[in-house]
Amino acid sequence: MKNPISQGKVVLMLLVGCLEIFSLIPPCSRPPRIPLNSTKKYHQHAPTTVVMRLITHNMLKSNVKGVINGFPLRIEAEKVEVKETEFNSEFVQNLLPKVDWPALRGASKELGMDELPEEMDEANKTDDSFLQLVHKLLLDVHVLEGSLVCPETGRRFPINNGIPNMLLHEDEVA
Amino acid sequence: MPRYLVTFVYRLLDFRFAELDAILDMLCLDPAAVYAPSPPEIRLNNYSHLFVDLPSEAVAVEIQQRAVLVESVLELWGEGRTYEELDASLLSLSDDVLAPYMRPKMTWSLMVAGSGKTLSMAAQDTARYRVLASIPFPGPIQLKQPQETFWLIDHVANDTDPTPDHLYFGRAITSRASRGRERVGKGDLKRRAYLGPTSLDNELALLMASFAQIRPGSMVLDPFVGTGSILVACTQFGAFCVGTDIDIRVLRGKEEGRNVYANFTQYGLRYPELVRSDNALYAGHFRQVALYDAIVCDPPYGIRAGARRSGSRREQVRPVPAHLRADHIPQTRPYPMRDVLDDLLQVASTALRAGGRLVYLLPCEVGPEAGPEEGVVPTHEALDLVCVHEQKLNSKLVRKMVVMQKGEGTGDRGREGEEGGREGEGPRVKRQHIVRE
Repeated sequence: MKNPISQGKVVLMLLVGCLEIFSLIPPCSRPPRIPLNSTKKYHQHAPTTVVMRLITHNMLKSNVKGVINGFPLRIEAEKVEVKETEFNSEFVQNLLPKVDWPALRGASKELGMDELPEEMDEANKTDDSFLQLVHKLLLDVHVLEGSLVCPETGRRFPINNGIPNMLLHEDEVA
Repeated sequence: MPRYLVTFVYRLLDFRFAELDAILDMLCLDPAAVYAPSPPEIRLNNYSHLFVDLPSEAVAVEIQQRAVLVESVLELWGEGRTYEELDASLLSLSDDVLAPYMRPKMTWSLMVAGSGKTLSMAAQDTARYRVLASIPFPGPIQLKQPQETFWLIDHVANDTDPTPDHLYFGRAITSRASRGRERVGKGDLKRRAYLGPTSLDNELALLMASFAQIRPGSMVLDPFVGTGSILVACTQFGAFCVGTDIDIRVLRGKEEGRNVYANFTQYGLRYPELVRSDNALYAGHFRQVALYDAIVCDPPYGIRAGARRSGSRREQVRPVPAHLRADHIPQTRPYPMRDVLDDLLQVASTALRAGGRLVYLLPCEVGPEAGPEEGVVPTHEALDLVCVHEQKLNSKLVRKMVVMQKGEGTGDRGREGEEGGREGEGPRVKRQHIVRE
């Protein structure tokens, strides 16, 4: 005759017993092992503040369907920060001919920054203090949160965590 | 011109000479003149070291700091088939060369290496004392971080070597410069803060930066930035980087400390500018300026990650209701590989300055027809093909690194093509076949 308690049940009871015994053993004093894929130890410095620089604003335009120019975008900044970075006059000099001057001037006005002259003349291009001002505006002024607004349609392109989201809705693609 | 001995690491054989070419070109040196002291077969047989004439030590330092596949650069002091010949050439060294190293306070070490053979410790010692009889350095010996390191290389030729068995003695440039090769280990993906399924191998990313001739102040664009591996490599060489990607998830990252920016924080590098945009609509998103010195990227080919472009898959696009617009997630549709490359070349033709370089990766099947670059690598009228090099991935797949350069004064031609638009007439991009469409 077979025992009414099946073998399976016996095994199960034994297992439960084992688990209970193990739970009574105090936890090991060794610090927990950091899993291999953890990146915590590489990132112990201050949290990254991530930003959009005005040089990017100077290049971006709106391309919603039907827009003719879409440039320059208006900046609606919620959080702006000026963080000084290393100045390299040669780099700024190379950048100058590629910058859209009225757009930079407008952006600097919108953010309440330094006044820029209406026109950039030849003497400016080699003047170090002028180049430093341009450097500050293009590379040191950081927009953390806000929006870029299309001048023609008013479409808002949000800036989240310093990354402007320029992607169009499917019905805006030309 | 002083003579130097450049030794390569035994990796990515197809890229070793080409990387040196790219660096020499960046330094405005003529490779033919530099390689003059080496027999021409050296290139053909992918020889592991070569002799070069460099105009100054600064150039040697630059090569050592820059090249990813260069093991070391030695200033050649003496050579010979036997120790007697080596002694003779060392004794004939002029005092001008020797004087700076005969200071009694200079710490030094002498390493002995066998190339093509292994030397026992005893053999190394014998060789060491043999050479020191001809050049007695008066300063103290120091093995850890000496001021100067000297090398004696005992080279045994194999069947394909164009140079006979030889002994070389030289001074390492490394003591004055960090080695470019060290970047490979330092930036290893295993320790990278933020990775994705298609993060590019660090060695290849650094190599792409060399081929793109990136120098301090270069403006670099990666239109398929992903987790930023390529831009991490480019920023290390002093570039100001811009990265765009259509996938907001990869740009935004997982959490604090696990996003693209974290990879830059990890190495103390300047943050890139990131923009979420669609490379198919580059001309719509960005002003038409020849802003960039280099475009470096690893486009998605659908092998591990498929490409997307903005727009709806439907024939009739449904308008997004006004009250849902604010939080609407834009639809994307598949982006065929043919178009990915068409658009990339088109973007490069307008956004690169004249002389700027486009470097990208292109996976191809190994086949009887693969081999010549014609037909496999797309062409563009404004871009000249500089070189194509291959890395074997497996028995069926190779990865080609394509290097193109925007021709001088071809800015207008590029713009004409732009007006033609996507479906424009004329063979804007010619190509016969590309794998894995």
